[in-house]
Amino acid sequence: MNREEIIAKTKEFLSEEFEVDSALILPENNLQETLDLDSLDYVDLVVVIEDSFGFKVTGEDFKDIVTFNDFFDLLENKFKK
Amino acid sequence: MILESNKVLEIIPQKAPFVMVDNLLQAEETELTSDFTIEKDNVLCENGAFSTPGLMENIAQTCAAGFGYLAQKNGAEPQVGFIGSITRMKAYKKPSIGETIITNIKVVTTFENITMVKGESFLGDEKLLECEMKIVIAG
Repeated sequence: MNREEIIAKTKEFLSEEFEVDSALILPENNLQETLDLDSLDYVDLVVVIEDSFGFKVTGEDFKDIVTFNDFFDLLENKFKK
Repeated sequence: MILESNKVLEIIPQKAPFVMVDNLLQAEETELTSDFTIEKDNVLCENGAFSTPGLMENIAQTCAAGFGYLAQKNGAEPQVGFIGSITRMKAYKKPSIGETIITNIKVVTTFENITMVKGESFLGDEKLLECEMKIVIAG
């Protein structure tokens, strides 16, 4: 799966799970603010990532994630591993 | 059965009259099972039946018993957890006084100090309630 495919799939499950307009899921936008994530919501995010891509992300993985672009980088790197 | 009710009471933080779990039947890292008989003086009964909040509390206390048992088995002290959220809850039927329910917990994932579980309670083959619950471990 290449980066474009990862982004397309990610937009799809994020807009469905967090009920946000996929047009707002832009690389430069803030992940936490756009999805209105609190600490409990991160668990849902971990679950949809695992269900969609088959790998697990940890709290450490989220340490430096600010924008969707950071998030897509994380997923792409995880996917390569 | 792996832990009788009197031993479960030593693990869970809840005390009478707010104990909503009896025996721990199974405890694996990813799956827990308990039983619970509805007594007539249960504080979460309404009109002769165990209430929906009671069934949800039973799921939470099954987690407390199971995770506490697993912690002790690994040489650690049981940790106190709190219900962070309950989602995707479906209530089908309320058990009556005198009936014994079986509750099954599957661990969906753990992220930091939060564990998400899927809980289901049954009376025989009949499902009573299902929900997803996030449990936040204190400390």
